[in-house]
Amino acid sequence: MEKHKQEPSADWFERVERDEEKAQEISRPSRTFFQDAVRVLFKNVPAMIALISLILIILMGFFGSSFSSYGPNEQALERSNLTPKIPVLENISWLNVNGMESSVYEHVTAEQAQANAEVRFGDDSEFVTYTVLSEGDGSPSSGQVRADYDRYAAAGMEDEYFYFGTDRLGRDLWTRAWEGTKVSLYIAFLAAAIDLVVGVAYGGISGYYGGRVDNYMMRFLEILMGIPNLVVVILMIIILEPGIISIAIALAITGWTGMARVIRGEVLKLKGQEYVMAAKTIGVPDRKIIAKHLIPNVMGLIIINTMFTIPSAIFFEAFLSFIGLGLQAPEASLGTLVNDGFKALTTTPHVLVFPAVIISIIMISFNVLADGLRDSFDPKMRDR
Amino acid sequence: MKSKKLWLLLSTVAVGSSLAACSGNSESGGESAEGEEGQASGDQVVDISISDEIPSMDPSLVTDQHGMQWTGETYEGLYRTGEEGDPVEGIAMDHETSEDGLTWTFNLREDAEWENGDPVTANDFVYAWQRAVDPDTASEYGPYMMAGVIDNATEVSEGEMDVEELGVEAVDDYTLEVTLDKVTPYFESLTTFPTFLPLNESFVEEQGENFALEAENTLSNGPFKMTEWSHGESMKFEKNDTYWDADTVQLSEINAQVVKETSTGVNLFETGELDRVSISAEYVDQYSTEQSFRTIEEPSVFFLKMNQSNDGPLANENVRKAIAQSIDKEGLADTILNDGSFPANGLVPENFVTSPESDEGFREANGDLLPTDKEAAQEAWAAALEELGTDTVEIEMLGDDTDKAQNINAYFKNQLEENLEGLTLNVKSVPFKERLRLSDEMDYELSVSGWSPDFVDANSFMNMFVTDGGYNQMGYSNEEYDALIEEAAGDSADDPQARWDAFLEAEKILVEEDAAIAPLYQRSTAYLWNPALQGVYYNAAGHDFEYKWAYVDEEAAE
Amino acid sequence: MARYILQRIIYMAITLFIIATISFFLMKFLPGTPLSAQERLSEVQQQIILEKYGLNDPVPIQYLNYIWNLMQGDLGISFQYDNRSVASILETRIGPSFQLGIQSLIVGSILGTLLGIVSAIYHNGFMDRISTFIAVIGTSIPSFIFAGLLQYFVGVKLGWLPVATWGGFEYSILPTIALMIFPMATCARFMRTEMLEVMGQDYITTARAKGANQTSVVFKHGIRNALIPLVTILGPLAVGLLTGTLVIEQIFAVPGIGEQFVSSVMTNDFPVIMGTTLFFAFFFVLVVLIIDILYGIIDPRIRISGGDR
Repeated sequence: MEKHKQEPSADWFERVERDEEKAQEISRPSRTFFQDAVRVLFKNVPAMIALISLILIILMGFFGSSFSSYGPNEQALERSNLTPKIPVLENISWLNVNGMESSVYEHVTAEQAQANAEVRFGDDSEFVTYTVLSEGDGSPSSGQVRADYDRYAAAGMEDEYFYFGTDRLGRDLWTRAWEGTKVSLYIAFLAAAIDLVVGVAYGGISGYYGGRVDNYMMRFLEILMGIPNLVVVILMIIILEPGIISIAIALAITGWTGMARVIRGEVLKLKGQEYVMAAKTIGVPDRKIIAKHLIPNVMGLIIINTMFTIPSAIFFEAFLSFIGLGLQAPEASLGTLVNDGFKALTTTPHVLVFPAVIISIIMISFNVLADGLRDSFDPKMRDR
Repeated sequence: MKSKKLWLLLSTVAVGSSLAACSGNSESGGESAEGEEGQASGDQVVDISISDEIPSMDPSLVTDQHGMQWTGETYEGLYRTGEEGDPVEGIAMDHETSEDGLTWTFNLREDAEWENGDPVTANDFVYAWQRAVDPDTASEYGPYMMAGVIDNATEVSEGEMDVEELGVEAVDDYTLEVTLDKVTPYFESLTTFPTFLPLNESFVEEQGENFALEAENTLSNGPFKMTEWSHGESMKFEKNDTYWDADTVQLSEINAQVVKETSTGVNLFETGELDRVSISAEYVDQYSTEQSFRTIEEPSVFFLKMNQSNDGPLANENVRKAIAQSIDKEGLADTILNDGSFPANGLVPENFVTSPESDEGFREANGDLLPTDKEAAQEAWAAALEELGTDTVEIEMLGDDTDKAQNINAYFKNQLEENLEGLTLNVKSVPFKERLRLSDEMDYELSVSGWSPDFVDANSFMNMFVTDGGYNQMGYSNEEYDALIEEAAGDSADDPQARWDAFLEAEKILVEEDAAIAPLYQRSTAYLWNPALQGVYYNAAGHDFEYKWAYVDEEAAE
Repeated sequence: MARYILQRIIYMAITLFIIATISFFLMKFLPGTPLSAQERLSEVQQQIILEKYGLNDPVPIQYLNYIWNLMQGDLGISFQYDNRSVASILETRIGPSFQLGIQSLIVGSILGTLLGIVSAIYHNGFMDRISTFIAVIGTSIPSFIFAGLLQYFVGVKLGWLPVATWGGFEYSILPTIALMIFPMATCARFMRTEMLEVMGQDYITTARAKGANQTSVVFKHGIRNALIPLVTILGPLAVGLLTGTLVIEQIFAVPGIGEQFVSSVMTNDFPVIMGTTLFFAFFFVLVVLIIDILYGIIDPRIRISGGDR
């Protein structure tokens, strides 16, 4: 490599006047903590996907049922247990949303299997098409016939579409699923709201006043937290009788303790910060300190905590339905729908699949979004 | 399905021919390899599922279906319900009835033994029956089954008389004399009921509080003995070699596994771990064409109880008629229940009792009372609204909270509200026990109830709704009805035809004229049943299934 | 430390006492008696039964009796199962639940920890994506759906393991898997953040600067330090398993305590409900106590400040 040796010359440089004004200038737009957090959040792809899914699901909860002409409790036994049928998608065979009920019949020969199937369908045999899967050699179950039963045609509703199918009573599962979503979300938000109000108030008071008040309040809280929440929830449900409000209350009765503890810790920490002390010194009233300094600073924590409360409330609701303490018929929530579907997991899987998928998406979305929020509010925040 | 739902549903004797086919005694394929007992082949071990743990194995205390079932297999009473549904020889070989019909003398066999070698004597019956009515035992069924049947039972159960005063006496070790309170045509059928089973006094007293709490605290004199009892898990019953008729018993072992989820039961059946499991509507379509699918019709009738005691809308006869005729029972039975249940248009079930003079059943004789007729219902409804002077009526309906019941409740709500304009039906689903309590306190308007007979006689259904009857619970009172039931129990007790006619007439009054109840359906249960398991009979009352004559025929399964 | 433990034990006793009191009075609000069919019982009989359960006394006396019996370990007699004591019912039911709980907690937390570590080591890599996905799914899908699918596919379709009921070890495998999903997912998520944090610490940088290779950094410094806080979530996880057992036991027909609790709720069997509630509460506070003590032993910082916490 050739070396160039050159003396630096003066005209390479230009003198810059020192500008006091410019030194103080902030070159980027000033952002509040929140704006910053939101910016970080928007860059988080999974969290954004989760947020969009949630918005979609909430919208569907409110408007989904209007896409169907059937009410959530409209029954008609002749359309009982129809399988899903969705326009356009019905032509894609592997999706299996063409309203056909397929079942495989087995016997020693295909003929006998078909005879068996014909007994099952009786008068509706004209709506069934048979496909021989294997002829059979006379040994048990060697002959197999697949029967595709067009239930929509049999019920005389070829032109109807039940996107999620129907249940035993002939109720439209599409409408019920979205109505159920609304109810489940309502329970969860209500429980989270009660948690939030009680937890923040309790934790805030305890942390802010400190000393003896804090001591007693925390001892009380510790005892409350010693009671297994599941047991309390179940006991409360027995007493309150299942219903939307009572389930939400039962969930909130144990739920607020976690929030209270987190808030108290944070308030205790913030209280010692210089700017709070400064405000106190110059005589700012408590009310204003709480409103101006403390609440904005614990806001992130509150949001994150609430975000984790909501999915766990939905989960608990499903769980209560499963053990028979959920909402009363004919009211539907995702929990009761999943429970209904579970009873017939192998026979009419479509009853289970859709509510189960919705519940899972809601849970996943809330969890991912909460994770994202935590990262954006404070990258160092961690599970408690 | 929760078993507690079923504990009302009890008692003895069998059902007619339609059931026989279901009960496995139809001639099935397979050459008979052994003697006339037929085709037993392979391991004589049977695994079945039961839906709940047994609350008690004490014959005096059992109240539920499972307790009745297994005390029925581990004890032998005076008679046992046979294949044809009639009482066959048990510990009693035969009996004589006095001319006035009030004294029954049973001749007991002398070769019957308890598991521990003690002979089974008349004293064992005297002890057990006295124990059952003794208020200290706190038996529910003792006083209920014996009061008004056995002399002095009512007084003893109320603590007014000594237990020794009960009308049962051991003339000698093998002669039992029973004095009845009044002529009871169905007493023979009663003797197969668990409450009337014998107990070995020295064993029971020796066990004290522990009696029947564990397998080793039970003592059998029946076809099977309990050898293992893992609470909440499973029970094992083995053939009892000291049973007097042990030669007839072919099964060597019955395992009863507690399985609460239907899907789990079906999965266990699929993998061959269970030989019999009851299934819910969801599974019927899938299995209905399989060889293992079976439905068993039961003499249990479900109906809407309508509380007429307060000034609510149900005190109005037209409201009741409108409700009773509004529900499409076919759809209920075929689509929602989907287990072989069929619509009921009367209180007394089909295939239960027959006319004394012909083979005609009660249902055929009385026809369909107040069947579904939506137009008639709407007419009645219009009339009712006019009488009540309103155009909206709100009614609360009490139902069970099982999955099946919740579907039924939702269906009723829809059916009634759709057909009867201006009606709002509020459904209240509660646990079974809670429903019983609310019924008992008459704190309800409509209630979805069921009834199974305690003995094979129309009276087991009909005496429910006499004025102030223990199970009336809805303030129903009709003098004519009371008089007919009274007549059947008293004056015409020994005139079968007059009795029969009185019951037919009474049912018409109850269901058709007064629409006091709205019959819904007669239950049937769907099972997946290993075809190899044969010779199991279904009893209309008492314990549900009889395994004494059952056997496994592996060849029949193919 | 001793003073701290003593203090905690006193709290534990107070908590249990309060729970006993609350559940007693809650039960008094509810309808339900040992008389399951009043219409069949004569007045005399009803009195005898109520006497047997001590329900004839005024409520305050009943309460004192209850607390007194409780202190002697007597939980009363079941309404539903004639003459059977609540203690004996619990006793027969604890075994299976305990086995399932322990197995799923151990397997779940080990697998979860491994997933979390892998995630952290290959941060933002393919393995991280996979294990994060598993973790999110695991916390988001209700366990009874897993259970139903496992039973049907592994038990019935593949026939690899027993479908249900309770027998030897192989019967416990499927319910254990269904139960461990949640602790596994939780541990994985926790461990991942913990590891990432630890790996960013100065001492890790120091170790690297001093020439320690990746393996030694990860094992000697990373995992060891990340594991300590994991202990704190084991308590809540163990208690959370309780919730799982209620449904899992029912689905797999396991004669455990959760299944018993549900069925006693369904039959209004109050002595059993109260007994089970107390047992759960006792278990809960005990686990929390053990975890706290354990944590104090592992992490010296807590030990020092523990006394005046």
